Amino acid sequence: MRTYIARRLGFVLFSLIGLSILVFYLARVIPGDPVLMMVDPRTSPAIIEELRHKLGLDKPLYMQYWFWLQDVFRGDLGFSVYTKRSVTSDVLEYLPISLELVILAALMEIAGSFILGVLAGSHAYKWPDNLVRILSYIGISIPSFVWAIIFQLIFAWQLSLFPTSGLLSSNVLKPPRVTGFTSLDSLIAGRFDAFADVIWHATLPALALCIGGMTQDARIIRSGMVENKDKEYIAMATSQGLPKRLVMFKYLLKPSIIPAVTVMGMDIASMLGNAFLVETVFLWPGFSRHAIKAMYRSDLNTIIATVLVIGLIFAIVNIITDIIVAYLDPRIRLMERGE
Amino acid sequence: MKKIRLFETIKQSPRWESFRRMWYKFSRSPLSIAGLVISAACIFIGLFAPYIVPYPEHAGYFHNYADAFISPFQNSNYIFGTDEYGRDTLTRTMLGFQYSLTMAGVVLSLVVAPGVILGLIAGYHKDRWIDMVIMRICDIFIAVPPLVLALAICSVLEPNVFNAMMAVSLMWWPWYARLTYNVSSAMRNEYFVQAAEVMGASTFHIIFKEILPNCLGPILTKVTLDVGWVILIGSALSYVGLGAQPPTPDLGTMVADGGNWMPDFWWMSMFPALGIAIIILGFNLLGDGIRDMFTE
Repeated sequence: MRTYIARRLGFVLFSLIGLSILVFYLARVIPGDPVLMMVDPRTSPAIIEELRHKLGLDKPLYMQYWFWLQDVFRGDLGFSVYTKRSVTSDVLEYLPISLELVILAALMEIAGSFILGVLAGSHAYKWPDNLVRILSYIGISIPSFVWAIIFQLIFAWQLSLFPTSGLLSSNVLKPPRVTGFTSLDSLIAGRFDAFADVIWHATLPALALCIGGMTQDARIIRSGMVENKDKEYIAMATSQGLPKRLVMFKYLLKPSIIPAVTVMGMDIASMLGNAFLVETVFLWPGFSRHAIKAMYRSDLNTIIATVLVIGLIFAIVNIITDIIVAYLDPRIRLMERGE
Repeated sequence: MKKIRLFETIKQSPRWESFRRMWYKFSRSPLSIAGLVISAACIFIGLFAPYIVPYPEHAGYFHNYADAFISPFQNSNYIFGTDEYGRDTLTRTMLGFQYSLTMAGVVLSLVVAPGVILGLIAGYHKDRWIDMVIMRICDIFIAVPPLVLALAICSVLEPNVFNAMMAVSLMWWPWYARLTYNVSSAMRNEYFVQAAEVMGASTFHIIFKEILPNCLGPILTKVTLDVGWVILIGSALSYVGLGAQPPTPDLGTMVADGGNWMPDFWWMSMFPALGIAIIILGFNLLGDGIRDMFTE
């Protein structure tokens, strides 16, 4: 188990370093000379040369990358042309607000796919199964940003059940910042009204983020259950007179969710990408929306930071998924031990 | 005469027989047939949109303010309504199919061949340095959601349709490499590969004549499913304004433009959104059908 995780970590670290090279090349080399982009076009060549020397841009490219990487590890992601602040403080300010949304969406996805999947799997080939099948086709064919618009149109504009956009209602004061997570901060400040308000605002965007993955995972859980139902160990457990519920949840569900957990991990990780669109629809003041605004203004340091931060979170989610799968699937654990 | 005899020979060949069996399997599922019909209809619209749409001139800068903001199903000239410039939503949505399918076609024709070839090479040389190099490079590209890096690339370069296609292509090949790698590395120790090796076949022959034909099923399935996903990413890029630019009738751009007129003029973004959903649904059903066709 430990070697397995260590090896996964090694791969992830390697691909993150590769990603940093890629993004460095993308943002520092492709757009052109950074010094010329910085200064007035009428600046004299001597001053440009001096500035180039001062910024270390006259050094070879690999040296520049090395200096830049050292800065990144020190937590210095550079200066944002768009917000006129350090990118690190932007990331720290906006990232928790996005994570709040993604975590809520992830929880909804996990809960929803389990409920739907078990419902369909235990009533295979009956109406709940067909309903989940239809839902999964609808869920997969409508992209998350279209779901966002549909939900906004129906539940926010037409039925007024949910707010149309934003993080908090205008009459609710923002809780004092402790962690940056608005929901967590409200709980720390004991402001349950603010907490409820954040969740109320986050429900529709989170639903739009998770609905596609949720219906897919439900299908995967369902087919796993249907496949395993005919196995002999289930027949044995049933013939030994074990309660139906125990057989269902302990013996049937556990092996059936392993493939779903892998896909769920990938879905949750890719929510970070889809959040770019959903946050735009719901004007959610998170990291993705900030990054989109920075992209419009070609704010290169913020773009680099966005890719790196999302790559890091993506890697963390993938490692967590691997650990959960290894925990659920003894074959993976034992295989590593045997080696 | 000769042609008929050729057809007879084809009919007797085992390949034709297996194709006939796969088609039988495919045609048994109504969902697969629905997928085939929907995707064929989408491709037809995509190919012939400029000739069959009611108002081809509504594609670009066109305005007819007298007919602006007509609700759908009210006016027989504009069944799906019109936008703020009086352009027909139906026309523009159908033209959007053209852009979306072109994007999918360009991206997939660029990425499938290199991805598959790299995957085959890495899979055949499993656990050797060449496998390590290829697959670790793939890992780098797979380390972020494809949309994020595509957004970053499009924002660094000039945002337009061409760059969007290039950015998505750059993000897409590793998935083919990985898929082909998984399938071909499992086949590495099969008897037919070993037999070819013993007989002294060249690496080229083994990779392309022995292993590749056995990987076609999953690759074809993925290509079909990916038509939908590439269109999704492309429309997402144009939705945030980093892909196709207005007044291009791209589905994502239209959804975004219509979003400014929500909720009163919902049809401006809902019909293009429906268009995206129909394309993805069609190619997903077709892809599922093809997958079932290849599984024993």
